[in-house]
Amino acid sequence: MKDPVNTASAQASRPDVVAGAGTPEGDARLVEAARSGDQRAFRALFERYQRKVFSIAYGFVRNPEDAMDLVQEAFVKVHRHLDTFQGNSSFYTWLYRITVNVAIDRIRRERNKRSVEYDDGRAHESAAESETPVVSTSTGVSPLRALRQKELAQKIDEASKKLSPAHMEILVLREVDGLSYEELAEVLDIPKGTVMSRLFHARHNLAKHLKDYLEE
Amino acid sequence: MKQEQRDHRNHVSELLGAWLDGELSEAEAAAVEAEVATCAACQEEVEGLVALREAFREPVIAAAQTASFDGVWERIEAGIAARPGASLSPVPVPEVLPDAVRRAAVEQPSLWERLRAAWSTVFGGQPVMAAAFAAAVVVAVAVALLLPDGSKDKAAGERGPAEISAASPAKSGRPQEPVGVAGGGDNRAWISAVEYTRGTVIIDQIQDDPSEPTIVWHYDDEPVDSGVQGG
Repeated sequence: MKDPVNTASAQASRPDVVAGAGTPEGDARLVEAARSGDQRAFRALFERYQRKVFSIAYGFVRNPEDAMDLVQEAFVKVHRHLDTFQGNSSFYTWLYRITVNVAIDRIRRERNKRSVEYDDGRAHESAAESETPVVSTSTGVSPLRALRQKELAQKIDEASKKLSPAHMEILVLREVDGLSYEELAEVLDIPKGTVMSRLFHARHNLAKHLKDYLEE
Repeated sequence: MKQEQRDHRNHVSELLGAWLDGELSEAEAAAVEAEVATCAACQEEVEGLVALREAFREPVIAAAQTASFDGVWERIEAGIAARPGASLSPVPVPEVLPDAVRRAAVEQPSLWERLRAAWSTVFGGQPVMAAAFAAAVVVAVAVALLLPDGSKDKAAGERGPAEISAASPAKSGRPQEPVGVAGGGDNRAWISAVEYTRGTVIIDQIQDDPSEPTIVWHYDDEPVDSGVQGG
């Protein structure tokens, strides 16, 4: 099984590519202080990034309690491994990757509990074989326009839980954190062309699962 | 629809998404805009993509704006304090155990220390397995305390991990006497035997039906805890 935290290790060594990072110099000073045992410095980092980390976590689990658990888990893990942070990327990039990976790990555990198999390859295949565009139906009426936004959001919460981790990851990073394709390519370690393709499949599958809910 | 048509349709959809994301070159964007202006299906797809994006994003933004972080820092501090090596009892004694057993387990720190040291020697101290092993040891020791005298011919703390496993009663259907009763009400479980393997605690459970399946209790607090390096 691919180790998501090891993936974080590889990806975190890349140049700083994450949009919205705080002041790198200020972060670096706080990290250095936290490393030497200054708990107030680590708390300052937590307070600086708690809401951003929550957003990413929420994007994955779509539930405030679970998202808060992930915030806690991510910061504990960050503290535990502060000594290994080499500063090649910004602290936020590192924190951000760890958050993504603890979120994916949580989702995998939850799915394993339910004994549900997610086959990313098959998901891609289904998208490639589709005869319909991403978000329209064979009736020609967009299912998304048939719902009010609030109802749609609730359905999307349910539908997004059926996405593969890779699809959920790219959607969260793009739609929630606003990474550009170039940033996504670097963070995810994939070619830029694959970013476009993966986003297409992720959106397609989200719309497909959404359509399933609408037809229930 | 033929494969060629599907491929073209998907390519157009990819381009529409990239266009909405502002990721096309000027020339590509101009071509897509011209297409969208005359293509009803494309317009519908664009509308759908916008709605999909907003519906995906807005709940996240709303949740983040209203989230309360009261008490989160305190929990993080507690989590940091409970890091492996920071305490002799980082793994909580499972609630499912009877009170007497739980007390017995937590009142033997020296045993903990010895068992954790044994673990480090045998398995190289991988944090994942250490956590699982620690949980397994709690259960194994706890049940050993409940075993009939004949089976406690050697103090649990003096056994190595393999010896504890070998000393555990074999799984052989419903026992005459349970070695322990855990939980209560609908969650009551008779513990007939305990074994452990790496990261896994196996408890034979008998409730009303002796054919109830074996519970495999996998303590999996941190299945991935290595490699958070670099940055």
